Amino acid sequence: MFLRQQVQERQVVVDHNLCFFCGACVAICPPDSIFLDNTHLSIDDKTCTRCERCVRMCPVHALSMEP
Amino acid sequence: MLSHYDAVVVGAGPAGSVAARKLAQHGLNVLLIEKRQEIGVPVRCAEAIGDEPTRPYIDIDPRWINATITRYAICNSAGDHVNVPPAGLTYVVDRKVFDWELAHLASKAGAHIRTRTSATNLIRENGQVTGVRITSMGKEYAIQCRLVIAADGTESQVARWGGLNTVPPMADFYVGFQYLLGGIRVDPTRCEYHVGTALAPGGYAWVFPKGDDTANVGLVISANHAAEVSAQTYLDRFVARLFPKANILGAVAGGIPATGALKKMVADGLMVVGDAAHQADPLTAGGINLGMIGADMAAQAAEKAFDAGDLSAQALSEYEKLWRDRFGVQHRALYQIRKIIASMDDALFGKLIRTAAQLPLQDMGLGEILLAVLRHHPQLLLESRKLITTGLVIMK
Repeated sequence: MFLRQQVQERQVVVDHNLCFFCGACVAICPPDSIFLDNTHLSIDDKTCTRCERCVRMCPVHALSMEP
Repeated sequence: MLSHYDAVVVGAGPAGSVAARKLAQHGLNVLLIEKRQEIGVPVRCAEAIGDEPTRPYIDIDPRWINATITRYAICNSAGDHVNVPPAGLTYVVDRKVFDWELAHLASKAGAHIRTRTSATNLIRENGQVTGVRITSMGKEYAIQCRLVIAADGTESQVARWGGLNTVPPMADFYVGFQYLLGGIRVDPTRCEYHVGTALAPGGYAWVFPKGDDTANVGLVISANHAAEVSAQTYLDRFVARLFPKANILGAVAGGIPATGALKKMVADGLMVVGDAAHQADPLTAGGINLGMIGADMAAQAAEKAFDAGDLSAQALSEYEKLWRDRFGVQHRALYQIRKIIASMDDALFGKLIRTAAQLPLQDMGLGEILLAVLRHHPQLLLESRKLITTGLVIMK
């Protein structure tokens, strides 16, 4: 339970200074938790499974798991 | 903008604009929406198209041609290279003008077009798509329609709202980065592909001339190899080696599925075209021509479905058959070639290039080239069954 809580507390964070808003992360997100609106990227924390696909493949490494 | 259309096309890239034009020419009421405020911007592409496959969709126009390509070079990082004759005349184009012209043709055919307008969800009744919710210039609308065509690119959400699984495996997803470089010296008639495990793991880099002293210089890598070093950093290393004094006139990032087209590209009242349907070439990830052809096929099937008054997935699936019949075998072969190249070490790839450079390539098809190379490199026989099948398929 404690472990699960810890996992859930970690979340994907986008650095808007690095992001090119290309949508690559949207394309490979299995639960469809990433939303791109021209120049804003947001991640739905409730549906995100923390699979980290987006973090690993971002072409400019604008995404990270925090903390 | 009306409250009811026969068809709504989401995304005004080449595929969306061709689909909208074809349906409008058939006498249907069509709305084409584009989330960006301008069509063709930002460019997320290396911008190469073939002359012959483009002609059915737009008159060749020097206003959007930046460079005319008559040679391809395949290079490795050790300095070996082979010149390969192109399958046909190729252009490097200005997508800003090219995409705009295609949308303009849709407009002339009678389609309604709105930019800065995004789809926010599908409206469905008993599983059948009956409309689409959109936000246009900040206002929300519910548009009724009988068919939605999702041409919303690699990050397509419309297809997912329609229940189609569009998420590619990481191994078959290319991530890329590209600069438009200025102040460089390049052969204005030659496109270069650069292959190497340290250079672009699971992918390749390219130099596509854009006229004068400019070129699109970019690369794609497999999403599986992007965690430690980003695509951008791989490209920075490549540019530092080849064009250390270049100016950066533009930069784009992107991701592109290299799976081959989705098996399911239709649902009840929904069709998916272009990058949204993974129609890009599974080897090179080039998708402009394929997206336009896919859109054309979708429009052909949709016209029949409208004429028959049946927009069910069953009726629309004619489109999937058209695609499979034309590209199914070929794209499976290209997919295998990518896997084979990705599994080679740099030493073997260098040998292949040097062998190929000795062959009279201008007189040979790609399949013959593959088989000739195979004779010189029997170790490839480990891969031979796939390779020979692939070669035979391409020779046809």
